[in-house]
Order: sequence, then C-alpha cells, then structure tokens
Amino acid sequence: MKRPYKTRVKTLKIDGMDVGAREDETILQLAQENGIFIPTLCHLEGVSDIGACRLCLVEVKGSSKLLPACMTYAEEGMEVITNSERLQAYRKQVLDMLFSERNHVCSVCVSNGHCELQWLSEKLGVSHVGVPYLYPQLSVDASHPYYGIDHNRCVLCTRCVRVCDQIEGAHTWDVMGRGVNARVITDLNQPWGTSESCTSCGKCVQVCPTGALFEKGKAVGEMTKRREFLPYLRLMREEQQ
Amino acid sequence: MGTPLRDIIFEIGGGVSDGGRCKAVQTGGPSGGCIPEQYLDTPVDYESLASLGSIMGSGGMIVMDESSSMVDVARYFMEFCMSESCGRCVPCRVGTVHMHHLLDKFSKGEGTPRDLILLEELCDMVRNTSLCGLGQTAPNPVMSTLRYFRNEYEESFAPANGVEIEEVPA
Repeated sequence: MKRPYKTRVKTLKIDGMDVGAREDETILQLAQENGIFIPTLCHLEGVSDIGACRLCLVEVKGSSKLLPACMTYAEEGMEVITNSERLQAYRKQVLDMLFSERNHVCSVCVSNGHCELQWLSEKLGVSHVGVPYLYPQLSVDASHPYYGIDHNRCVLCTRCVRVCDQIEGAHTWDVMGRGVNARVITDLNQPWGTSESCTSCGKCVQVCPTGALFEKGKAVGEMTKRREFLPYLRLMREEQQ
Repeated sequence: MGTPLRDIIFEIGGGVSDGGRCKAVQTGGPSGGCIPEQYLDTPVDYESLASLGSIMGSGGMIVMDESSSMVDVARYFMEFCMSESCGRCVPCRVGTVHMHHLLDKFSKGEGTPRDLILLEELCDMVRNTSLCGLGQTAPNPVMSTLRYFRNEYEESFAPANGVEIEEVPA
C-alpha cells in the first residue's frame, strides 16, 4: 500500500490559464492534465526523461532560457507559455534536423501511418525540409529471430535504451559513438541476434517512435506499436512496492 | 582581469609576428567570439567581453592578422564543436553538422545569400534550444564573425566567384 502523504499544491499559469499542480509534477504532466498540447518525442510515460529531443521546450517568464517541459517541475507563481510563434518555429526546425539527419522516407517505411515523427510533422505543419539531407549509409541488423533494427530510421530518442534498462532490467541497448555518429547498439556493439542479455521481450520495439525497431514479417505501413503495457506495468509495480 | 586586450597582445604577448597588422582576437576558445581590432582597448572582464559577443571562457586568446579569413576561423571552430557534440540533443547533434557544411561552402566560395539566411537561422536555433553549454555556445564564433566581418561572408558568395546561383525568394 502506498503511504498517504501530504501534498503541497502549487498554483501557476500555463498559457494564461490558472492551474494547480502537485509539487512533484512537471509542466508537461500538468499541461496534459489540462488539455494543453505540448509536442514530445523522447518522452515516454513510464520511464525517466532525458530532455533530448527539445520539442517540448517552453518559455517560462523570468528565465532567459527555454526549458524542457518534461524535466521542469511546476513552481509557485510560474508563468509558462507553451505555444508562442518562436517556439513553433524552433520545433519545426528541430523536426527539420531529424528529417535531414537520416533516411526518413515514409512511403517505404514499415511504420508509415503509425509513426510519431510523421504524426508530429503533420501536426506542427512541417511542409518541407529547409536543410540539405545528410543521408548517411547505415546498416540494418536483422540477426534477431523476431525483430530488426534499421539505423536509418533511428532518431536517437533512446526510448529503447531506457525501457530495456528501467522496465525490463536487461540493459541490452545502449548508445555508442558521439555527435552525429552516435548509434544505438546491443550489448557490446554485436549483432542483436547474438546478444546474451536480450530477453526478446520486444518492449524496445513497441516503444520506438519510428520504424527503426520493427517486428519481422511486417510490410510497409503494417508496424503498429502497442504501448499499453508500459503504464500498466508501472502501475502494478508501484502498487507492489 | 581588467587589462585591455591591446596590452595583453602587444605588451605581454609581443604583438603580431612578422610585423603584421592585428585583425581580430578570438577569446574564450571555440565557444567564444572574435573581437575586431577596433575594440582592442576593451578591458578583459566578463561583462565587457559579453557585450562584444564573446566570453571569458577558458581565458585563451587567438590573435589573427590580416591574412586570416574569418569564415575559415568560424569553420574551424564549428568543426571542433561538431566533433565534440555528444549527440544527446537534436539541435546540437545535427545543427552543428549543417552549420559546418554551410561554413565549408562559404570558405570554398560556393555560398549563396540563401545559405547566409539559413546559417543565421541555424545559429539562433542551436543557441536557444540546445541542452547544454556546448551547443548553446557553439554558434558564438559564427555570430561574432557575422557581426563584425559580414563582408567576408558576402564576398565569398558564389557570383563573385563565377558560380551561378538560384534566385532568393523575397
């Protein structure tokens, strides 16, 4: 049983709306509770946040810097702007960066129609990419019996790394290299199929926002992701503790 | 602290070798900015350097004479930031690559007016959206050279070098 504890309530403003927040609540959680949309990509309900995709950046009055909503806790008297023109422009540019970094041609992707990157760019109105494509030649690892990874589709959100470590407890995935050469790897950068730590649970595949991680046997547009297990697992574990 | 740049360069440092004329000084390492000759009487302290678009940073200084191209200087520092980027946040990971690519075009004399607009947009975005200090300060050399030596970027536009370019939409 969870022990009842005293909750301090913070009052603040989001987009001019007066809202009340628990002290352990982030601006992102608060916005979602109040029906305010803030785009996210690396954020995943049930695992820790890393503030890496920079899509959830918000303006906070009195702060000269833009702050990631997923990692900024609500504070008394805060005034948050979630959707200014400046933020919209930055978010589009960040998506530009992702589209130009690797190969994201939707028409030949297993996750076409079910992809978060695709959905976000439609939602935020990205009509074209303003920078030249980098298109590095990256490998596809199909050595695992059930799953595959296409590094060309990876946006390095590290959801797979976090879910494998924090939920499954296997820590098969990790990141190797730096800068634009960073890659997610399995074990010590060996083929996924030869990984000794991988339990083949498939959590990484289900949380991947794009078609980078996929189940074998899925054709174009067939790879829908099932994420329902994650909040459920977390809830069950919290109740047991 | 508080000593004018000119004293450090010419009295302590012995001035520009081979009797050349000092063109600019880069303070604070790759995250700093280039300060042109006319501001050399500025005292070296946090506020004065910040007002000129540079920083104290590591305290290092690189003095350049008339033979140095400021576009090449910006490209050199961007190459450093690009290879030092850890790759965690998107703007720094990809933005530095695109900025380096554009600066490379300018240093080869293949830049276009549109590239200059794009470069400035990227600088603004990477500076304001990056996760840590590396990305937030990576555009500094570009922005300070654009502020004081914009002509060098414009001189390296493609038409000046006989390369045809597309029209820039208004």
